[in-house]
Amino acid sequence: MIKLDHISKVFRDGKRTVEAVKDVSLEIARGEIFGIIGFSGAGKSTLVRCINLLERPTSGTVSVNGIELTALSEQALRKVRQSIGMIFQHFNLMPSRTVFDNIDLPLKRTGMPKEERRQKIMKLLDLVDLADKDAAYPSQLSGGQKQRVAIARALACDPAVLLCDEATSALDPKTTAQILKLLRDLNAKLGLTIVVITHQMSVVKEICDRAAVMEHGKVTECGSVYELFSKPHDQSTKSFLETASNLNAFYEIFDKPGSLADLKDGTHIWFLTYTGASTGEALMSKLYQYFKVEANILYGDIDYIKGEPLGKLAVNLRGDPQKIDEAVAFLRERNVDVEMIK
Amino acid sequence: MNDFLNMLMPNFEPLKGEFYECLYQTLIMIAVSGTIAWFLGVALGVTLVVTKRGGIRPHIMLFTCCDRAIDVIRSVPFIILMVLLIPLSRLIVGTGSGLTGSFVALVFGTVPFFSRQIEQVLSDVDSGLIEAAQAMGFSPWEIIFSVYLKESVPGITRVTMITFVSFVGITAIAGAIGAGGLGDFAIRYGYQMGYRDMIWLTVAVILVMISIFQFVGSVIIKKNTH
Repeated sequence: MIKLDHISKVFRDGKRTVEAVKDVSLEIARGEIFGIIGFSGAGKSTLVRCINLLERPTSGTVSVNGIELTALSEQALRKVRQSIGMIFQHFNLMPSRTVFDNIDLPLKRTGMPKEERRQKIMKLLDLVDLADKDAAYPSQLSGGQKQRVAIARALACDPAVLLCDEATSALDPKTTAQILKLLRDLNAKLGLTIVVITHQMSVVKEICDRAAVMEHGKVTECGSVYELFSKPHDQSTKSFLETASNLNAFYEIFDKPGSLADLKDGTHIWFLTYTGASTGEALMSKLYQYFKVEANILYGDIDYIKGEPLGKLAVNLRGDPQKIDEAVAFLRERNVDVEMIK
Repeated sequence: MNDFLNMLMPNFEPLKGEFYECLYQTLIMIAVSGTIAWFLGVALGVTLVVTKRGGIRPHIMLFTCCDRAIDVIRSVPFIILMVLLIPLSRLIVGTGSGLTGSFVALVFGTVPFFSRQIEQVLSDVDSGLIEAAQAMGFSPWEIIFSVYLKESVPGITRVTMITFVSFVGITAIAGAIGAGGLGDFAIRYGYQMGYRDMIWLTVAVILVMISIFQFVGSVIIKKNTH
């Protein structure tokens, strides 16, 4: 659906040049919810603007729906942009126009008769659950409602793709959840391909099928969200994931003398990551039952990624060293990722 | 009623005809040069915003030319500018003096100041709105009319009101090249003849004119601010 081929974007400001995006290639499938995550300044926003050519890449080609956008004239590009909806962090609704007129804005240009437009707008408002707000001005709406209007506006010309640039970053957690649910429903109902740019790990976890991690303008890792969370390969992915959990708090006490993790008896701390099927098993009790190995849990967390559980445990294993080795092997057999961290 | 007016302004009765003519001249100056200056000022303000670095159609040459021209014309005091522009006025409207001769000078005296303010107002439009419009596939013309101008109606009205006051000020100066108007009337009868009541009359009429304008302006602003 969307194909980015060796995209680079260099900004020149006098003598200074900033390479915001470096040689990024991505392919996003039809009907997919694709996340692009990374810390601020990683180049995510520039990359998403390269998809509808709000920023023209310095090199590389962009294709959406089989059309190579980078080869189009300005005029042809404007036409194609109608089929690529976009929503923003600060909603960008026109403050002087009512909700109705805001959604009418892209429709008016299509030459659709007035009555047909009215029906379409009411249908869109119904879709985003704001049927009674057509006469309101943006300043009278809450953040979540504004984003819903922005979504309705973005969908007015029946786009195949919806680009979301930090669409939930200005919203509170509850509203964020509602907007994400709406996006997921739209994806299911309309088969809409959605690209989500965010620095909020929770957003990716909640709705994305696949995601790319960006750092310093490069995509460092790309894959299914579940894979990224359970088996991150790249250091930047790991550090990003850590910010999303309270794992950081654990690492903070890790080196502190006198803390739980300050071991003086020669035992080790192991980090276990377990997914799906193995989660349900009472692994820790089995270790004692089978190997007489005691597991002292120092950190524990279970995450649900698109409904699938992903567990993380830091444990201090005590027992006969040989038995510990056996216990670790047993865990690995059960598809638990085991790593000695201290 | 008439007696009362006579008591208040003893010099009004004989000068009535001339006063109305001067009022008419002022209104013509405001209507003709004001309208032309308003459109030119908006157009120039839009040009500045659109062509500047980072605008929707950057054009550094055009921007620099307009930018410098505005600064230069703005630096010339209006009474000197009027004399300076006499040849240009002859070229454009066929005469350098009289009511018709004042139009060119009045336009040149107002546009630079006004377009600067328009530029300021348009620059205040949230760049996010421009980006949203571009993402919807709007052409530059559509962005100018349905985003820049439409979203700036209150701001444009506000600066129009500010400019109007100084514009009325320079129409009074235009009397110096024989354009007539209330300024000319006030100089001739209020200053040279020393009729204080005629000075008060012109002041009152100008105040009423400006007040009406301000009132209409605030209604427009109120209606367009949400």
